[in-house]
Amino acid sequence: MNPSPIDSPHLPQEPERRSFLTRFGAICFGTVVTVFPFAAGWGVVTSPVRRGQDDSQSGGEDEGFVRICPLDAIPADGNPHAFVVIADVVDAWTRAVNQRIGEVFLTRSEKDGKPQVIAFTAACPHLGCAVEFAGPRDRYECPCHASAYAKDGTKLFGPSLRGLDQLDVVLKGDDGAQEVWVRFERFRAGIAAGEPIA
Amino acid sequence: MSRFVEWLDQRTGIRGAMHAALYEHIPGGARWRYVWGSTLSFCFFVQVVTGLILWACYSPSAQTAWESVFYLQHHVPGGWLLRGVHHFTAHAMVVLLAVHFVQVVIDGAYRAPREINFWIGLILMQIVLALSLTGYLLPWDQKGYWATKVATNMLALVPVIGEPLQRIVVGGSEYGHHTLTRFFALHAGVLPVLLTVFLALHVVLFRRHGLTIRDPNRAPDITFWPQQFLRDAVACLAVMIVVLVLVLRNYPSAEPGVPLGGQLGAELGAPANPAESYAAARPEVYFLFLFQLLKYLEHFSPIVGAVIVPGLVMLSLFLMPFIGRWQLGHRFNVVWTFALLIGAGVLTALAWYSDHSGRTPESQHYLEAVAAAHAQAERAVILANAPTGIPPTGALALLRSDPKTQGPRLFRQHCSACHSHAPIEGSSDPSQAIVAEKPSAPNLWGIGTRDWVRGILDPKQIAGPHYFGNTSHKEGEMVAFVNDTIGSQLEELKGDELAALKKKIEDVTFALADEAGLIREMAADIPARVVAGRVVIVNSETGFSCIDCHKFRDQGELGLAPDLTGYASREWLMAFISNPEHERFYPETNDRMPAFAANAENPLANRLSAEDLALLVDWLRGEWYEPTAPNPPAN
Repeated sequence: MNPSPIDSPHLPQEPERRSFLTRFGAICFGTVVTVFPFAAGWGVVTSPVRRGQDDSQSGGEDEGFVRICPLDAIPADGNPHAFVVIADVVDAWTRAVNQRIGEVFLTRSEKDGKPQVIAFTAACPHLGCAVEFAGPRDRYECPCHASAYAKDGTKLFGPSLRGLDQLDVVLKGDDGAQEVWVRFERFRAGIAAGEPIA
Repeated sequence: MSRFVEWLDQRTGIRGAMHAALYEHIPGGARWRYVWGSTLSFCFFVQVVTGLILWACYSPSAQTAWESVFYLQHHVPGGWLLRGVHHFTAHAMVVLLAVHFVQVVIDGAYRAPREINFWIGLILMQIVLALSLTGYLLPWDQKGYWATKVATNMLALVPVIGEPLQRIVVGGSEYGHHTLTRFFALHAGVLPVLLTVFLALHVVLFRRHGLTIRDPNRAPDITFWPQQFLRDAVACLAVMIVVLVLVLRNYPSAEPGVPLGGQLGAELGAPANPAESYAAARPEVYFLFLFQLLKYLEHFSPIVGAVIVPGLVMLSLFLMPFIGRWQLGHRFNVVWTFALLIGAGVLTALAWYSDHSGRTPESQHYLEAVAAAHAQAERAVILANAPTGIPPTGALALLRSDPKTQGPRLFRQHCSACHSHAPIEGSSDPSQAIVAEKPSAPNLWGIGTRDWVRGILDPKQIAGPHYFGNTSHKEGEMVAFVNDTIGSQLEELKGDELAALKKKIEDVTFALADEAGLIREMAADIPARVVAGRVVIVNSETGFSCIDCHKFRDQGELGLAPDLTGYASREWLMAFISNPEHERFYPETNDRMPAFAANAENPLANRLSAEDLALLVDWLRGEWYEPTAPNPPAN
């Protein structure tokens, strides 16, 4: 059997007390210098956990609302229509203006003579693929895992645990030329509750 | 636990391996002089760990390299620490290499049977220097860009293979994306793998031959663990502390409230700019001796200093094991090593002194260039931190469209042969004040401000050197009006009448400065004075009747004197500089001022492009981005 790595029998031993201090010091200092480079990089590696989303799309004077289109651009046929969301994007060090950051489905209707708009994000709440509105079957369908949702966003069938995620809408401007603004958010996929990603 | 170790040992032989690693026999006891190899291994370990994390933050391309390093340094928490540790450990490694080498030579550890391991050590030295050189370029700042250009041009001097080799390393004939991707592949891939392989060979051969012991009877024999291990660990700890001190050395003077990233760790210059040469370019400090050597060998072909001399020195090091066989060979090697080190030290000191003495014009030029480089680096960070951020085209675009950066350059190029731009009293930011050698036209400092207008209406100043003193307008009607009409009244009138005249002048000052629309002159109490001043400008009974010569808004005619409508506004200045002889300005009485952009149909025929003209005017008007707080806090 090999000798235990703690003893070295064939050499003269130091006095026990000194030997203990030497070992203790060697282990302590050895540990410090081994941990050192990891410690120096710890803050950088874990920084994405500690910081929320950048101040790019949320906050500001519009409280996260993004202009989508004039109200008249949505056909008043009661069917969902896809619109591109355009906003300034901050990606780490780059700030790019007027970028396509996502897609929403807008449905226009009227209530008491006033226009109403319902907005769903196109991201499937199952695992984030982009859903499409299948006109002939009158429902939203996800091309990835075959989840389907009714026009009002409720889940019809498929692996998704919840219905489509609805977005807040405001109509801005005068009666004649109203604009549709949507608070564009992303939601955690794969869970039963619609939970915005901060 | 012991059962697990037993289990593992039967399958891996870990006990034997640990034993072999830790219980190396050291005759003559533990000594501090054996620690240098371990400190170098420690440095390499630190570089691998910090380098891999840096890799996760870095983006090698001409539009993103500086930007990603800027983001790491200024916005990622602890980024400055990580970068600083990597940077200064690289420095420590070069110094420790030299110490290790000296130790090996003094102890004669290059002699048989250790020759091959000695040569492997020399190869390792080359790899470390190559790592340092390739790493210097990666931040893609002015310093690294221009210094590395010199290095790759030296590479091209190598006979026959030099030029293709340079193209292979640079990724073409010009610096660009492929220079960064290739340098990055070298720095983070090829060279570390080579270093690992050669280091493994180095250690295996070292263990095979054992330490070079000079006096085995000095003390009782020991094993590596724990006595020598402790010494090695303490030495590594000392290296770590030195590195941390270098990273944190500015901490005592760090301003509270300002992010530490701007004050600590490794420096980051302004983004690399191929169009703006960099007079402060110097290699890293441990290559300075070579830089100085090249200056002394000016009468020879550059290949002598860049290739032949360093090549011969390296050859002499490779030959040491053979030289050491002769009777006096070892002494020669020791003396030669110290001679080389002292020579390099002296050359480094000379290079440092000739740059920093401040006594020669070259040194002053260098120090000015360093100050300018620091100012530009600071400005780049301010602009990158501005709410508009860094555009996808990169941070260099920010500096190129910044009036504060481009204004002085354009003014020197186009204007300062005649005009100064310097405060009449007091001091200012030296980068913004430009004094013409032979001023023959007005000093344009603060054009359009109330102080500027006050000076024109002041009999003591208008014919002085800062206004019309050096021009033909000295004899003109404006000077006559200010001297004769205003000047004589100022002398004759007394009491209330004098106060009323002074108020009129002041009202005109407010009204004309209002035409310029300078943001920093906006204030709450202005409108009433502006209205009063406009009346003075146009009224011939109670006012100055400026409209006898000038046009002002809807009164007066063009042709005799410059239009006062929008006086010194952005549009007015751009039109004036474009063509001073336009009927709005001096159609008859222009004094030598060239038209800089008179040709609207063919902009290429103009001296100034539309962009440069706008930058120049914005700079003259002092309108550029400045942060309200010193710097926005890091997220």
